[in-house]
Amino acid sequence: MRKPLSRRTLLRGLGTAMALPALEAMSPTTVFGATRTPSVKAPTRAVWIYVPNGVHMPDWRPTSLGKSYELPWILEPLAKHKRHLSVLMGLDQQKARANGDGPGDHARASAVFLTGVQPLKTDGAVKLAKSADQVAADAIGAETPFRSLVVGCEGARVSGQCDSGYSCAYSGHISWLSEKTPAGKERNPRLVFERLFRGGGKVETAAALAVREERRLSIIDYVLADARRLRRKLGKADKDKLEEYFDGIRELERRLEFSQEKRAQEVPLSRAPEGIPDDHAEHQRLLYDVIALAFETDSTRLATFLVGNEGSNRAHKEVGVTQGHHSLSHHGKDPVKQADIRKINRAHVEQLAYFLDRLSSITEGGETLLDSSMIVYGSGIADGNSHAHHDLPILLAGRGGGIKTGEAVRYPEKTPMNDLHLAMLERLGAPATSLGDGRAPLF
Amino acid sequence: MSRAASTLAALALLFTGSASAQEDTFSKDMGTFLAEHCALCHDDFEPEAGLNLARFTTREAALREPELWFDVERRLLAGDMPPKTEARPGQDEIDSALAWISREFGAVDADTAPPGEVVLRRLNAVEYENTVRDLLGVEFDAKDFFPADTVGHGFDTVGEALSVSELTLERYLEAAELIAEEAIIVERRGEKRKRRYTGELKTDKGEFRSGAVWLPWVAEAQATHDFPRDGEYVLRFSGWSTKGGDELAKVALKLDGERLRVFEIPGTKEKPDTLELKVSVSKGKRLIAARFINDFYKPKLPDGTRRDRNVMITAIEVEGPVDRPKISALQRHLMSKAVAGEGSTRRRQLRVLEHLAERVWRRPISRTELGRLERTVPEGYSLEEGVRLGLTVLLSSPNFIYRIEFGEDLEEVAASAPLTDWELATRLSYFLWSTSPDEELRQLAALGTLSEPEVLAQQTDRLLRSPRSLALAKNFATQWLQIGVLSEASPDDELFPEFDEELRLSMTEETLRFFDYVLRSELPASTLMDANFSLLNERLAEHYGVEGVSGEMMRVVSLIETPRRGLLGHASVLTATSNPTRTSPVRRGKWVLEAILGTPPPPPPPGNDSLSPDTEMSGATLRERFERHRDDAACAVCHDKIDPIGFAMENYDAIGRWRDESEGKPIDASGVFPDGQSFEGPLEMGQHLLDGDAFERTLAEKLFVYALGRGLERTDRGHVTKILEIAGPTPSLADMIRAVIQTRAFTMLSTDSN
Repeated sequence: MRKPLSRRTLLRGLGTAMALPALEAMSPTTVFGATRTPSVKAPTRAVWIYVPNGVHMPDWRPTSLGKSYELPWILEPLAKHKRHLSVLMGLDQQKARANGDGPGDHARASAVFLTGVQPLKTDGAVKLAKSADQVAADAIGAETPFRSLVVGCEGARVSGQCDSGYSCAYSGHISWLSEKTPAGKERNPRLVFERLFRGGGKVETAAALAVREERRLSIIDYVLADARRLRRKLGKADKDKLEEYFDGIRELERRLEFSQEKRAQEVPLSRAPEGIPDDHAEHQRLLYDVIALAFETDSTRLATFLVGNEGSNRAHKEVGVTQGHHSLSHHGKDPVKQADIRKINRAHVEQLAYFLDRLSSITEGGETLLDSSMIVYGSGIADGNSHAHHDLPILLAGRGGGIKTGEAVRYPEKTPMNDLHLAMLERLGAPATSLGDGRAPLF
Repeated sequence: MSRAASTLAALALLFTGSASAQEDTFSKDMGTFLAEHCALCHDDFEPEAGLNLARFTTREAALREPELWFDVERRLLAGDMPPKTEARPGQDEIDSALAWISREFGAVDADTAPPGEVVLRRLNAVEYENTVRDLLGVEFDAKDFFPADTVGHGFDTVGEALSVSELTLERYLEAAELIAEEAIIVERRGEKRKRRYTGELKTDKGEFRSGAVWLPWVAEAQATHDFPRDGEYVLRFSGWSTKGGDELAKVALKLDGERLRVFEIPGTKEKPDTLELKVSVSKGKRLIAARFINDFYKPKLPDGTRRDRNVMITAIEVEGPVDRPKISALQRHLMSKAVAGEGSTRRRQLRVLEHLAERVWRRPISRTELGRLERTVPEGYSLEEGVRLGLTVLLSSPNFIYRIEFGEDLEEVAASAPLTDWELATRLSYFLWSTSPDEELRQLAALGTLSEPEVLAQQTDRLLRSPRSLALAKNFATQWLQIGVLSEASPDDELFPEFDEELRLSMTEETLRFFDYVLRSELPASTLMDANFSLLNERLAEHYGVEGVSGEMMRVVSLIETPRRGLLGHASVLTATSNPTRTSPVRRGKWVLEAILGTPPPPPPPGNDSLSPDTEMSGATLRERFERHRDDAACAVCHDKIDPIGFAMENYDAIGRWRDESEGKPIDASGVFPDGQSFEGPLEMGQHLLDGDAFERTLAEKLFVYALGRGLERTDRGHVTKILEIAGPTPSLADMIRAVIQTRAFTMLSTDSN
């Protein structure tokens, strides 16, 4: 059951000129409903969700195009949302191919997904590009306390080796702050919640919080001066490294100033999820919940969710699959292995269905969050056995930014997936002239 | 390209004369070699292993990619390439190709090789935890709190790979606050923390009624409270009851499921009760519950006022801690005359902060820095408040988060400089202990004597002898041997019902303790590969079929009677390199090439990375299927090296138990190395791995990367050779570690030539 948000949250929303967060949770009746002025429009949101190791394409690809397409087996759990769901076919990530860099398709697949840029093959200092969600965050991130939310179920690989000489940073992140720095990914739903709504898990009065934030600003002043001094003395490579520190501090400073203006969000602790559950499906649901909650409270409008690190060899015992996912994906056309892969694919899609349910159950001003969100779901690999990076499995759900969904579409061969990102950026109010190998907005 | 390499290349240009003459030597020594021996497979169109060598037709093109020649040099030296299926180049051809590389990129010599540039290293989660615990006595779970560290070149100590995002930084600040709050207790006079839960109450089976919890039957109202520290607290709850039966309503106050006391609730809606209990609670989030335990409901009872006994809980409250906080020994010491001295609060604050800074920043704080710190602490803060805030600042600073190295200030411009004694102390203690320097190292750094060779050697020995050097086993060995994946291994439940958490932990523990034992006993490094003993507990001994070991404790056990020698027989390694349902000879072979021999095979070409279904379905044994696939030359290049090793280990099953047959057929663990040496079974194969110095060299390389926090560059070959030289023949593991510390790469740094 959803509990009402506090009155302070509501006043805060009214006190600003920004697009209003979803506030219907305030009362059983619509707060704005009829009286809401047409100029107050729900903000547009975007989520990119990534699943590793490709999917079993024969059970993913619809056999007919247009609105009357039939959902293939893997996508069946999404039946309820079919009207708001498009299956996009023919999108490529050409830069995930070897292009002279040799093996490493897994690392490249995730690295390229939101960038469209070939990653530098290295086990040390990485080089990629700012990802689509972060490009969007540069433009609209300042309107919300958090520029974006970056979550995933898996942490770092515990072994030194990730994929064929590629740094583990590539397979563990789809969201990149800059060409050198992946965006920090959170996996503990509880910690995400506390960060978003509690200034970090402490139960304290508004006055105590204000004192703490004031103090944080003075700490920031001090350490910024430290960092500036160091920058003057350090060599080039170290300076680049320290730049990450500056970027992080600045963002934190912005957030503190932001919340001083608007006060921190207050969402009752009773809505806080617990830590990381053992059950993988439950873990996904909790992270989806926290994304939905972040949208509902307008804490951010952008999120990425890496369901599993690319190349993940998780044994999906929750659906009765004992072999590791990655091992299975090299199925060599073995029907037994393919059956297991399908199962994993469908189990992931079931959780997507849960997320879409959540979004459509939350309303703001007569619209649901699904109406104001664009949700991309897919993988940078089509079939795991051949490591194909063309005709990728991609879903587009929701109606945010006025996008039209509800059909199976096939794009001409070699259409860069980045064209989709460009289209989304435009609708997010963050139009970009270029992004990786993108050419022009897809629609 | 590293700056060093570019400088050397530029120097080479100066000394070797005109451009055309250089072009000629490229063409003569390397160009022709490439064309004749490499470019047929490593061609423009579909290059083997994705490596195109055909494009280097001019010297200019070749010099643009210096890193690549490092690899070419390695392969030529190791005799890996060209593969034996192709015509061998003559030794003179190989020598002149190698000579060209040396000429262009500099000879590799430890005494002149640049120490190298280490990119700014951030503390990783393990180092952060250890540092905070050792300096401030605060246990902090950094692994769970910070975003996961990225591994580079196989280790989580590599600066290039350890990035910082906005999230990391936010957590750093928050961690600094939490740690400072725990390290420095501030007593607040007259202020008691009270937290009242009303609207936020939860319940198991009760009902929510106008902001309170209604308990019409046996059920409870609950609240989760985060107790900030161990201490005394007053727990309260408010409520009232409706009357029924002969007794009053009873409510049990529970903490984390444990019943503390039972209270009677005589109060009514108009006049509710508040009941309280003082208890001592340990720190953390706990569930407080008020449970209605004596429900009564007889609707037909004649007396209408006694039919239904129910309880309403309107609030749960926690007050406290109400006792005086326990001041840690560290805090008492900091605030004592010995550290804080006397005088005004401000003066004492600054002295304490100066003292702390030297520890937290691993160097003395400058006057200016201290002055700025003074201005950050508002007027009117108590001694403790000021110290706490100052400590928060110190812990948030890049001076703490990063290991900053400038080297000694030199009067003349030079390409390299020795580390300062503080920097050296830091490198030493993070290498051997994964934590910040201790008191003794700090004193020597302050005196400026740590860099004297005898002192450095003494301190190295002291650190190695300390129990804290177990950090090497925990952090270095687990990453080197890639057994961290064991925590994710999920052997099939049906095939391996024996595999459980206890076994998993015992496996890791065996390898850790074994490495630590070899280190401490000054045994030869090669013992890691051929030891006829290990450290086992009862569980693992049973697993290995060894009798007479009882209990959980790991202890030295002889394996003379068993077919296990060294790491190759460790269940940790064997399980970490297996699939959930079966062994993987390829993963095992690859593991040996990577971790033991230092010659990682390139990954399979795209599309070829599994056995094709027809070979797989044919009912042949795994070994036969692999042999067939090696008929394909593209596969054979690497699998000739990988498979014999992997199949020699087939006698160990997917969780490391010994077996004589698989798939109903006896196991054939014999094989032949690419150089023609044949062997019978895993023990003989393991012995051959110790031929030459490949194992020691690989170990030296791995130690080097871990210690310095950077990938190997071409010029580092000199340093690695030096490590082997210093350590001497049949070096002990400890000697190899000592040798790393004696290299110029460890005690110096390349200065920025900008």
